[in-house]
Amino acid sequence: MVEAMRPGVRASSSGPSGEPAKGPTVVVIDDEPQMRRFLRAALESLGYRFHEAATGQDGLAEAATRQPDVIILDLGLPDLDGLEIIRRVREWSTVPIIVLSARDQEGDMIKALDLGANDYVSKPFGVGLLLARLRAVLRHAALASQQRAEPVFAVGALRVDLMRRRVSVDGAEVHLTPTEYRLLATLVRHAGLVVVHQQLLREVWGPNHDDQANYLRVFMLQLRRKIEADPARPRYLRTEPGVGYRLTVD
Amino acid sequence: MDAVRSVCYASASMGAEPRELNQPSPDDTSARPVTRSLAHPRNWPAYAQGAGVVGFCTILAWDMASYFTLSNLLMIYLIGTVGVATHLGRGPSIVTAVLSVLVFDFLFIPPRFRFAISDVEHLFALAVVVAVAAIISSRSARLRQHAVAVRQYEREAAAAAAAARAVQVAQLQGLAAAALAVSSTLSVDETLEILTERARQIIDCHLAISGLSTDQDWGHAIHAVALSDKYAAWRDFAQKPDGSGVYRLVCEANRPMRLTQAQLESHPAWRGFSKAAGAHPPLRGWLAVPLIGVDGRNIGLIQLSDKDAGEFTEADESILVHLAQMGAIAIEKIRSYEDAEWRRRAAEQLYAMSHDVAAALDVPSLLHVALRHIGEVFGTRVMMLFPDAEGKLAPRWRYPETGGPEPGELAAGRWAYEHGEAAGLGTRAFSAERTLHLPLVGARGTIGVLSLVPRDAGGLLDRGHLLLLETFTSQIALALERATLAEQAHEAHLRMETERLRSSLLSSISHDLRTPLATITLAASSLLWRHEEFDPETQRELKESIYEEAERLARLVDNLLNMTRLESGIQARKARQPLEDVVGAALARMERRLRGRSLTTSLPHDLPLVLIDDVLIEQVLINLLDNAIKYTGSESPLELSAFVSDGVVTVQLADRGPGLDPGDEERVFEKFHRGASGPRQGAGLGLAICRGIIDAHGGRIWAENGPDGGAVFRFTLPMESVPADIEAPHG
Repeated sequence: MVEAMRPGVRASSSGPSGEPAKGPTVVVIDDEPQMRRFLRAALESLGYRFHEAATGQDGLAEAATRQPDVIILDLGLPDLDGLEIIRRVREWSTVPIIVLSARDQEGDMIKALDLGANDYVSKPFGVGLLLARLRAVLRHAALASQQRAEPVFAVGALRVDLMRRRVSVDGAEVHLTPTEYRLLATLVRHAGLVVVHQQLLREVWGPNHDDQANYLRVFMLQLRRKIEADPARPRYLRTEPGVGYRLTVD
Repeated sequence: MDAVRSVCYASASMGAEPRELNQPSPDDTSARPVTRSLAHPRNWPAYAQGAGVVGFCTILAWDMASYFTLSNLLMIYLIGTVGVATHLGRGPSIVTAVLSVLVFDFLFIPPRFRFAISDVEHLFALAVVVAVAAIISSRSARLRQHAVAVRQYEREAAAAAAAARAVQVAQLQGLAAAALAVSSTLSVDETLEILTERARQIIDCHLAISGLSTDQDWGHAIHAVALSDKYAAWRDFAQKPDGSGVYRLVCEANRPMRLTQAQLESHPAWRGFSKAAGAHPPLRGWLAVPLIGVDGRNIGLIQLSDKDAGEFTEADESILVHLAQMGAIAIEKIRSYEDAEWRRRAAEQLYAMSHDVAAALDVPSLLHVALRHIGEVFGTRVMMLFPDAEGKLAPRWRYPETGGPEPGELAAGRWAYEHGEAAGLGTRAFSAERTLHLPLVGARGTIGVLSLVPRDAGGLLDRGHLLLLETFTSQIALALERATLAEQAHEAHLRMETERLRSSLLSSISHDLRTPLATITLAASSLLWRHEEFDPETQRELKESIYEEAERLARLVDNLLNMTRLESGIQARKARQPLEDVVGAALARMERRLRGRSLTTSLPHDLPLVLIDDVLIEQVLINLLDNAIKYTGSESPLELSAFVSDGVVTVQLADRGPGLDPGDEERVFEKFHRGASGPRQGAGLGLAICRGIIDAHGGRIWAENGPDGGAVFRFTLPMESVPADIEAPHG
């Protein structure tokens, strides 16, 4: 499981200290030099090919010329609205985007996720958290590019067999209702990534249930009670207050 | 025989003479048929009676012939003839006289049994008989005729008197009915309608029109028209006289005017409806009476035309004067009643307005209320003009909310504002305007202008109304001033409060930001410059303290952000959700700091959904946990639980620490308060923010010492009734 979480998805043979040239390419768009310096130090040491831009315009140029595997985008740029950058990038590319946002920018962040950003990290954050998000989006992108889903998802004691539609915890089968299963399967498809309320509602209940977040919360509660040891301190199904849910992968 | 015939003829012509004298008057045609009936030849019983009398006299004379002389016998016939003449009229008496003469001549005058007279003496006697008959009969006939005529005259006079009395009674009854009808209505229009129709009926004419003066120019509106069927085509006639012509004469002089059509046509003030001739019903004679108010002022007029029979008489005029006076008094009574009623309503509205204005919380609602009241009382469009930022007077509030002023009217408004005096309609300045501008004068000068566009210009300018308006205006001005001052005071207070808060916040925050920053700077610089001198354990400690202090800074910033959010009045984004979600998220975020500590959670499975802003409640939980971690030993256990009671969900966090100092239970929730026994770190904001957040959720937060020691922090969240489909989902 831990191996699958490594960054080198396209070159899975390379380890954390492998050839930088073979690591994934990342473009960081952030106007704070300190942040760029820190990210460059952290990511290059892990084998990422690192490109940076201090403005939105430069960032768009970098994103177009460098063909990155992932973009890390700060929402508070001086020249261009971060949301506008996501919109423009999404016009021609499905490259994973992780947005960096301050805690008081929740509204923008949800808009960013709606526009096609794949995940987010709130400032301030630890390097471990950012790396986990990077690994998750890269893994997800790799699976998507290969046009296949993992037939079996496993994390900790939880095991979800998507082929057979079986769920077990510690080897013991858990009986889920069809809706609970659809909810879990949706989260598994986006394992490691945040899934916003609206997206979950759309994917599980269909397009006409956008406004019924109550359903979602009640089913999530039931799902937790079935697969979590302590539903009040969930191990797998994490709540991101005001945003959505995330199925942890480590 | 010729002589006798000529005598007879003479008597007949003599008798004919007094007939003419008997006529009571040449024009009295009613006497004629009586005379005619007396001379009627077919009055045969009288002639028969005459003949009978002659027969009776003959029998008497025949018996006495042997004892009396001829002349005495003739006396018997004379007596009979006189009797007939007295009682039976001229014709029978002459016939009787002639018959008596013939019979006497035939039977008694020698030569007897022959119609011949030997002695002239006898002829004279006979002539006397006929003459007496003629004279007496004519005299008595005349007396009788006279008696008949007198009786006839008396009958006719009685009938005429009765008819006149009937007319008078009818008119009196009409007047009485009109008085009753007029006094039973409370409407000026209805009063005029009654008055007009009754006047037309009582005076029996075809056309009656009444109107009230609208102003001292004597222009008046037609208020009521009463027309007989003859004028059915003009029933809708309502031409408004312009206050000139004969109408004006009546109103101005306040005197009645009675004219025949000829007099009207030749009157210099009469213009024969030059323009309105087609629309106006034609006139035939004219009787107009002014309506006079209690103070002798003219208030209108009532006019009649086309009397059914003849021309208008003096009596008609008197009746109409009575009616008009009755109507005028009724109208004045109604007007004063209406005025009193209006004043009462205005006073009520004034009272209501002062009440509403006093209750108005801010200037806009105050103005809105005031405008509505004025608009309703005075039936006007109302507008308030206030100086804008550049001091230019501009309309700011309107009632009703549509319809703007004209530029010229604004000039009058500006004048009123600058001079502090009324301007526009009916005042000295800009008097030609349709709008009346009244300055709103407060204790500190003119603050604005109240502009009114009345529907009825006359009514508003009434002295009493203007006084009331001024009362309204000064009320509004004072209330406005008071509200403005109150708002300013409130704002000043708020500013002061904000200033005070800001300065204490700044000092507190700068301290709390500096402390972790100092640690971070120290640790980081140590690692940078002397890192080879530290053993690995020290290095790890330094790095950890950097990380921890950075996290502390992040928490402080989060709290500051949330506090700003709450205090700037941003609404909580509440959604119905399980408490477990939020508890899980909070515990996940505190995971590192809770490491090595026992924390038990007990959330019943049947806990209902709660309506909360999850980000804010997460902050509450984090702050409570952070507080417990700070004030208890590093291994002291914590217990987080929730339960339902009394319709609320209560969440509590219990620790095993030293507990709260006495009196601190409330103070801990105050801003910048820090526990005396604690580590004296943190801004003292955490619990204050908790209280703000829980208040915003309609809940309650408090602290107390637990029964087994340690502090217990509790907060409640109101429970919403949850729809069944959410409570028990399927699928």
